[in-house]
Amino acid sequence: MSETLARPDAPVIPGGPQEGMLVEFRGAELDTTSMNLNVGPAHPATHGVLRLVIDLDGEVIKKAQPVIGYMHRGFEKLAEARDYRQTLALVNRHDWLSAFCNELGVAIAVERMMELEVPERAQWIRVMMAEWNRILNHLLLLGSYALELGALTPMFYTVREREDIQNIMESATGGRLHFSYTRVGGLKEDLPRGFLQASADMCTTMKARIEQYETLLMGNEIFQARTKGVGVLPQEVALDYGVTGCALHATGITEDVRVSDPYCAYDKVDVHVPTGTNGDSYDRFSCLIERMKASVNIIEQVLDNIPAGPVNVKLPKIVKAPEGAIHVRTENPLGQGGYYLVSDGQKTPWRMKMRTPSFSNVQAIPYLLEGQLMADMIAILGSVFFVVGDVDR
Amino acid sequence: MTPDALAEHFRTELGERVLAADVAYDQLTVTVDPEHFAQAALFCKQNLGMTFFDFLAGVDEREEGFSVVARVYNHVTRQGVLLRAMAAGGREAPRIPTLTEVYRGANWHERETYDMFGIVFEGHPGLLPRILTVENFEGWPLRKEFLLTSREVKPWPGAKEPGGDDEEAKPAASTPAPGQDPADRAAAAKEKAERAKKKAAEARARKAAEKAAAQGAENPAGSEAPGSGPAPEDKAAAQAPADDDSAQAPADDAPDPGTPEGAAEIADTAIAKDAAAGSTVGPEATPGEQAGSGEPDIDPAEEAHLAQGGSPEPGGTPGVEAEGTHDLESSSARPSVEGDPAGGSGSDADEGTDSDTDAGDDDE
Repeated sequence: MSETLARPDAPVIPGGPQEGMLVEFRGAELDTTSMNLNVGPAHPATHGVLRLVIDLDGEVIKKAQPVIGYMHRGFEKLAEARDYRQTLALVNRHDWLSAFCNELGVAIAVERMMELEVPERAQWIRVMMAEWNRILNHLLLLGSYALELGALTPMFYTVREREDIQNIMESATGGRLHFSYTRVGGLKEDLPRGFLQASADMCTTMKARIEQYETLLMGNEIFQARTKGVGVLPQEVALDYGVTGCALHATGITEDVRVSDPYCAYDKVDVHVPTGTNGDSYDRFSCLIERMKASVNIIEQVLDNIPAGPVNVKLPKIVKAPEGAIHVRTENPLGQGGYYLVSDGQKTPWRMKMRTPSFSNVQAIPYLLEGQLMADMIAILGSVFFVVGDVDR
Repeated sequence: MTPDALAEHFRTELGERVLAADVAYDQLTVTVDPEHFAQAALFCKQNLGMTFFDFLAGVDEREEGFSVVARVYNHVTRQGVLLRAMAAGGREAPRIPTLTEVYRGANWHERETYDMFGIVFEGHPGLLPRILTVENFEGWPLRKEFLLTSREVKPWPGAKEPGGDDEEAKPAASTPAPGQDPADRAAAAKEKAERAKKKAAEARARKAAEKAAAQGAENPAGSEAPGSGPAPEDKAAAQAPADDDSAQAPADDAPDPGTPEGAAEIADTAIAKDAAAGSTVGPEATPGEQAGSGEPDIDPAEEAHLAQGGSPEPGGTPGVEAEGTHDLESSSARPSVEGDPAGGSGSDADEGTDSDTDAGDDDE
């Protein structure tokens, strides 16, 4: 017997699979050969067209290089040829799981530049919609992550809940994926009758359902064995790479734009930011679930406090942001989204940089994969929570 | 520390390396000497505790070249700063020191900025292969002289602006088509062709009116090419139907009542026809008008040059101007063709949309 642990240098997590566990690792004295492995760009585990070029030595990943750009559609260029109203429809699309949160950022940027006062009711509805969108996003990631680890059932449940929430959002926005509900200065229109009641009912349902997911997954021994202590991301590395969202919160950093730089009505609600301690896949996943609970809580606060009133302001026919530059951050489901908008006073942006959470998160993947076992690749990749469209734009 | 106090801190600590420190919208932008870009970033990281690397992006600064903006952030004090520097080397060979030695996260952002603008980050571990575009891609997509492919191939039909300040593409439907119909109908022999002709004729008539009024009607929007400004009478005519009070609903929501059966549709077919079988219209079209009805007058030579994706003249001015005109002019044309009845900004994007909705569905 040559080694007792597969990864002697891996940190031992209390309660993790390595604690008190004696893994007999036979055959380590045999020679290994290096191998170059291409994963993707069309691979089921990469959810999307992310390609990884992996250098393997036996089972151990020596180097992993994500190759991105297969879905590059040039959104930043397209935005320069569109006026601000059209840009809102455009930014719906690069991260199709966070459509509402994306459009919010652009609207806020233009509003701040134009010094528009957005009606109070619109601000609250925006918060509610953003949180519903966050839950929608997290539900899919929750289901697909479990699916990648071999648990098929959670996907069925989460898709069922997604359907209900999508129906709610569809009743207000008309869209199921690309909502296009935000307008510069407010919203497309007010909520339909019965929306608030439906939301309240769904909140009650969701609270019970989230409990179910937790019992189903978090307590699952196999799930824990595959995620605890796997893909540990230290705080300083996460910050250095600009990693945000669940992956950052799992390291114990509470940076969340909703708290640190509140937009819309987030300064009037109590936002709980769940954090982890180890920064591993398990913590990232548990942050995801806790964030859903926090979102349900925010929606309930909105339902209690939403004021009556208009949801829109009257705008000139041509929306022109004054000359200058602004940077707006929003807390998107996948992490921190940002728009750096440079205007030359015309009706189209002169430059619109989209800072997307997935781009920065995926950049940290080589760090996470290096030295890990090939079998852990999927557990790590999925737990970074990214959407390839959001990476490539 | 308020942004102003932070700005003062930068000035005192970095001295002459800080070229400007502006506060706008409660955000501090510090412009530094490009030579000391990395040094300034290191200062932010070590002295100000800004360990979070947010993003790095390039901005086209017209004749001056390109600037690079990076944002770093301190998650404890919740302070951030936008570090800005003009890349040295103008438009021909922009270059700037890399930040990768300070922030690991700058790596991909710099690769992307290189890919999009051609800005070389000196000391970067590897800008190639190009990160987002294909490896044999030519040109720098986010430079202003780089035209969107679809705009090069096909001029955009329909209204220029959904909001309706450019009335060029809302033709006065009453404009009589100068008698050219019979011969062309024979050639095309299809209803679509007929429509195309009608549209072309309208455009010609309009163009004539424009030329007449060219000197007088200077378009206030600075980036429009001279001559693209609509003739005053056209403007007045088309303004009337579009001039309802719904500020949120751009004019493409309500079909222009002055147009026979949806100007958009006609325009679409017309341009398609023009592009595909220009010869049918050829005999009657005067040179230079065929390219597109309702298009601004763009110097054909320049157009051709730009269509090559060619780099601009040193200094870049012509490219910038042409791009601005071309793009702005056509910016919203397509959406108004397929206007989303639900609302103005709901109109669709073109190139990216299909593929990414599909992908979205896949992912679901």
